Order: sequence, then structure tokens, then C-alpha cells
Amino acid sequence: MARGADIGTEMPKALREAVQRLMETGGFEGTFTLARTPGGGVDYFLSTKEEGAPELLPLHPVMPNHAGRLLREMTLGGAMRGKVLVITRPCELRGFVEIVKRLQGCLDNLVFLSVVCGGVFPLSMVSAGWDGKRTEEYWAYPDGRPVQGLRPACQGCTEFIPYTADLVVAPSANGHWALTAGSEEGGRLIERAFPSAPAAEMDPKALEAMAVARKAGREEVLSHEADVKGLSDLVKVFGRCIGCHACSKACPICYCTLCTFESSRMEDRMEQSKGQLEVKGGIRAPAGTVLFHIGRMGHMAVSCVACGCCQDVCPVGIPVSLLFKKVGEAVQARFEYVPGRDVKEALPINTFQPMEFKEMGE
Amino acid sequence: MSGNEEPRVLGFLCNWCAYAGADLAGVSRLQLPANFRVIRTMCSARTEPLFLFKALLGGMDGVLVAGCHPGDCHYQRGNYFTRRRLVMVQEILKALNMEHERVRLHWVSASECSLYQKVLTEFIEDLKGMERNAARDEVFL
Repeated sequence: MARGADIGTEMPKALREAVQRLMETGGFEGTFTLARTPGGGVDYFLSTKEEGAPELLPLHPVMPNHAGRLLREMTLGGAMRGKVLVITRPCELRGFVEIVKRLQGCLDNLVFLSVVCGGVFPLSMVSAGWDGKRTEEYWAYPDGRPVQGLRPACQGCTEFIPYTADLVVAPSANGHWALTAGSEEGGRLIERAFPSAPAAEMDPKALEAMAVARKAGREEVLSHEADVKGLSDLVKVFGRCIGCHACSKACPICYCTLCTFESSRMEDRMEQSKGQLEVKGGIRAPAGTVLFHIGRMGHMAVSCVACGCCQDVCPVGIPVSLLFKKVGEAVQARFEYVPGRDVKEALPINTFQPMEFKEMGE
Repeated sequence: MSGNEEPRVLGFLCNWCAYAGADLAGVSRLQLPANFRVIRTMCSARTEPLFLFKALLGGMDGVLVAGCHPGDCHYQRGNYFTRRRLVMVQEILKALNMEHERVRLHWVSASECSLYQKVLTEFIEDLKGMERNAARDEVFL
């Protein structure tokens, strides 16, 4: 592995400068990162020239959209034309890798810069007005100081180190940050951009401390509402659901443009409900909210990267991401699968071994 | 199940093996449970997870998926995918603490009519030992 470069202590300024240098020396046609939008918002932006570009905010601690979802839309028709530096969080990268496995996107020409992730804040914080001081405080997370107010999915995230990124921004010793290489391409980019910067490596102690905190966080967030005990709890949790399907719109894995849950066969005509009405004496409208969520688990739980976007957009505050995280982890553990670990690894439901799972079906 | 209430069971049977096995059971005049409804699919792999969830939330006490033995699939490898999918469905139900025993997978060939009878009877006996599916009375689904 090539050496990493020390980029200093002043985050996020140091990160912005590092991105600037990578852009100048790396031969990129553009960069895809978070940027300030008019009106004080934040969203992803593909910037191809410096003039007129908005203020770029690489790895700003919110996730207005899942970058994997956006990249899928941008590369569905074919690879990106020129080399693009994509700056995303690990779960966004993993989500994109999962969608590439489904042949819905293309990794060619994309160079990924990711981070040993400290999580992000809920979207509602941005709309309530962003306090600049919060960003400064946020970047102290490798110290082990708990960041207050992160999204629940991030508090309990144990997959905070990117698997397939070319460049990784990581905590280094003594409060410094390092830009480290995750691939040969990343190593070359660092050598070109930082020929004289002092060498620095990822600090294993910081990573360990983060892992301990996250494991505790995971136990905590999964122990409340997401601890579903059967149908009655499920009905309670999803009882608030208004059937807007925003969770599936925000999901990086849900890609079908003709979603089965939005087709006419899921609409409950009175004709079809006749039997239900006779037996139960009443039905909820809209019908099928529980079926929607369980059905969606059946579609994407194997690939759920627990990014938390579904919960972020839920207008009625259902802990969707925690439930999906719990179910996703169970399914993935059974198949010994980590979504987004390697683009060459087959999806568990698209492959098989003839002599496996003997207990299932005799 | 309370009293003399019978569990309701839905079966997804593959056209080439399990359905033919069920047919043979009928022709051979084997006694079969009457509270069992069959949906014929061209391959057991046609049974998508959504069918199973819909059946369970619709109030079925049990769902049986039956297809050709591994290696015997009419479409070479459909039943291998079915097996993985059923593993996934059971894991989802387990993670939500729902009764995963209500979903079962069996391999029944076209000639195994007595096996078909045995599988069905055993499944229904097991279901009799469980409560009736709560989804049958739940209006907020």
C-alpha cells in the first residue's frame, strides 16, 4: 500500500484544500460532491469548472440524497465520459456497489474518495438552519467525544470504514488527519498531489475506539422501537405509516421505476376487499402498509447498507432504517455477505451452491 | 389451535414435480387434508417472497412451497434459488420475531404421492399445535 499524506488538523478546511490539490494534479474532468445550494441548503453537485461553481462542501455531515442513488441515475446509460472524483460516505459507496451488481450503474471512470465516517446529522437539522460551529465540533469525533444528535442509523453503524474507496480520509495520530490510499490509483494520486507532505497513516487506536463506541451505540438504538416482537409490535410500529413510499424513493437499493407496490395490483378495490370485510368487519385505508414494508425487506434486505436515508425522509418518524438494519444484518449474516464489500462478489440471491442449506427443504 | 378449528394452508406447487405428485396422490385415492389450497406455479422459483408475505398477512396459517428435488429442476437450477429465497424469508420473519415455522419448503417429485401426503399431513398437524394466525383478525395491516 502506498503511503498516506498528512493533511493537518483543521477539518473541514484541510479536506477542502486536499480536494483542491487532487483536482489540480489528478487529471479529473470533474468532481462530484456536496455543495452549498441557494437558500442555505446542501446537495450533491457535479462540478466541471471552477468559475461559477458553488461552494463545495466535501463530506459535509448531512446526507440530503444518497449519492449511490444519484450516481446510478447518472451512469445508468453508460460510464461517465471523463474521470470524476466522487466524494461520498462509506455507506453511499457500498450502496452504489450493490446497485452496480444489479447492472443499474457503472463504476468506470469514477475515483472514490471516502472517509472513516463519523456519521451524519438528520436532514431536519439543515432545514432548521445550520450552525457553522457544529461542523467544527463534528470533526473532533475520532477523539472519542460523542457527537450529539447524529441520526440513529449512524449512531449504531459498525461499517464506518470504506471497503472499495481509492482514497480514504482517516484519523491519524495526535489529532491529525491523513489522506490514505485504498488502491494503486489512490496511491498515485496522493504522490502527485502531495509530493512533500509528511507521511501519515491511519491510527488503529482511533479506529478501535470508534468501533467500541459504535457497537455500544448499535445495541442501544436497536433495543427500543426496532425490537419488534411479532405481528402486534409490527402493526404498532408501522401503524403511523401513511403509505407515501418516501422510504423506497430515498433507498439506494430500490431502483425499479415500475415498483410493484405502486402498481394497480396493490390498489385495494372494494371488489377485492369484500372477503376481508366480511371476515374482519373492517379494513384500514390505505391498506397493505405492513405488506409494503415486509415486502420491501424481501426485495432489498440482502443489500441493505443501513445508510438511514429511509428514516431521514419518513414524515411520521417511523424507525424504518433501524428495522431494516436489524433484518438486513440477520439475512446478510446467514449468507455471510457484506453488501458493497466487493463488486465481484455475487448477490446471495443470484447465486447458489448445490449442497447448501440442507435443513431447508428435505 | 383452539377447539376443532382447522388451520388454513396455502401451497405453491411446481408444475413439473410437486403438482404432478399431488395429482398422482388424488388419482391414487390417498386421503388428503381438505383445508389445503393449491396454486400451481411453473417452477418453485416463481414463488417470490412477496407471495409468502401476502399469504401470511392475509391470514393463512401455513404456506408450503414444494418443488423438484435439488438437481431435478425442470429449468436446471430454479429450485436452488428457491431454497436461498426461503432461507431469506425465514431470516426476515425470525428477525421480526414472527412465526417462521408457518413457511415450509419441501422437495416432492412427480412419483412421490405418498411423500406428498405425509408432508402435508405433518405440516397441518404441526400447525394445529400453534395459535391461529393473528393476521386473520388484524384490521390494521
